[in-house]
Amino acid sequence: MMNEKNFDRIENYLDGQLNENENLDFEKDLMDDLDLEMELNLHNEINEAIMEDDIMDLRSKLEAIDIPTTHEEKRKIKFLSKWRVAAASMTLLIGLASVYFMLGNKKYSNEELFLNYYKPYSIVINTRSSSATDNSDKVLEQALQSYESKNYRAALSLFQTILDKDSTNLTSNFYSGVSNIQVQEYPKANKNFTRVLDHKNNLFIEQSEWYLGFCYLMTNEREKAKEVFTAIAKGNSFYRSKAKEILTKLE
Amino acid sequence: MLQTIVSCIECFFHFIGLLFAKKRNKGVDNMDYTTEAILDGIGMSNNDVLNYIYRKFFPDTCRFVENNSGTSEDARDLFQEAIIVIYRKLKKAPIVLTCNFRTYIYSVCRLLWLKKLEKRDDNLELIKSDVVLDQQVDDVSKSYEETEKYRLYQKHFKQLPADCQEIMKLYLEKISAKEIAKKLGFAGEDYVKSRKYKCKQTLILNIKNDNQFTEV
Repeated sequence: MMNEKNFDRIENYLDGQLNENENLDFEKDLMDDLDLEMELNLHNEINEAIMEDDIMDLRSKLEAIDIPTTHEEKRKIKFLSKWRVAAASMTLLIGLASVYFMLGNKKYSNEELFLNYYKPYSIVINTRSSSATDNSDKVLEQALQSYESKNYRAALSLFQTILDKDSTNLTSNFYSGVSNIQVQEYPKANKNFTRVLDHKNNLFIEQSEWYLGFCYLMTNEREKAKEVFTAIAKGNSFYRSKAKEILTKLE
Repeated sequence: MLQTIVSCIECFFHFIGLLFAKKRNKGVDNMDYTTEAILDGIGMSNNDVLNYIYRKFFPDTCRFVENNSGTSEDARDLFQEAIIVIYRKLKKAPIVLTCNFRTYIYSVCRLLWLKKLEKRDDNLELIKSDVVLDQQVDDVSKSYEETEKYRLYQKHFKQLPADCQEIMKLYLEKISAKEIAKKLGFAGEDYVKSRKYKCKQTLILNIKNDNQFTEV
């Protein structure tokens, strides 16, 4: 296992952030430390892989090619697109409602704040490529695809199969949380986000805090919501300024 | 009234346009590509060519895999990897074939499947060696190993939160932390630096914890 110091050195070396002496030291260490050299290679390869947009695009294109499907699968696809239409109209409805409330200039209720500030977490880069070979990876990919196409109920049941085996799975908990908000199961969403936050050291902490605040708003626990948004506003989170805005409206 | 007439006319032309488009597509469906055109098409990720390749050559591979202890899902996976391996090779240098494309992609798939079975420790006697085919695809193995490795890295990269993916990419494009903060609306330089650190750390950890990692 790589220690933190070496992790830093490797990253800084690759980013060109080491000064001349540090650079020389690092290169010297590389000569007689095989582990360090292997680790550097791994970091380097990962950087290269990340930049291969063309390959990732090609993979998605290949994945999207239709190989004749069975009748059952076709029916499923039709069914899925119906859900998609339903989800789209729901979004439109929420959009219209929020415009109405914004124009109304009334005192803000929990629901109004929710409508004005909440939006589901988006997966920016498409996850269509089914590069997974492991079965649980495949389930996760399918779940993320359903999530991406706003098919939250399907996503939830797929995430659940992962959580049945490992209830602490962070990615599944986080996206289940957002999906649960989408289908208005706020206490369940609360549980998902709490699990992510309990883990303390992961990439979904800021996002989970933010969405937890909305769970509290929708279960009418205004004080708890205030606590959550206050903590976000005081911290260094990406959602800091939005949390501040919400707080002024909650007061 | 005038507006209604104009929109009716527009509709009519649109309809005619669609009809022609359909005819054109039909033309593409029946078209045959030369080996060079197929290789060019792969190099440019041309959708028409990629579709053509699947339609024309996938059934052979599928049959082969299914006859050699694989499933149609395995075949689909394998075929995809074969095209990516060819794409990678093309990126490095032009490919000159002494056989037609059908034979070529079949040989690539055959070799890749052999490698997969080796890993699975399956009965290898099923696939007889074929010297003529092997000469064409001698250098495929190396590309394949790279493809497998990078596929694993990319899989985990895509599973990171969206902001992580963006920060890491921008970093590699040599955009300064300050500019990244501005571009993505983050609190400041320090935030971007610590977030990037954490994202990379998680990515590497996830990759190392993947069962496939020791294989590649």
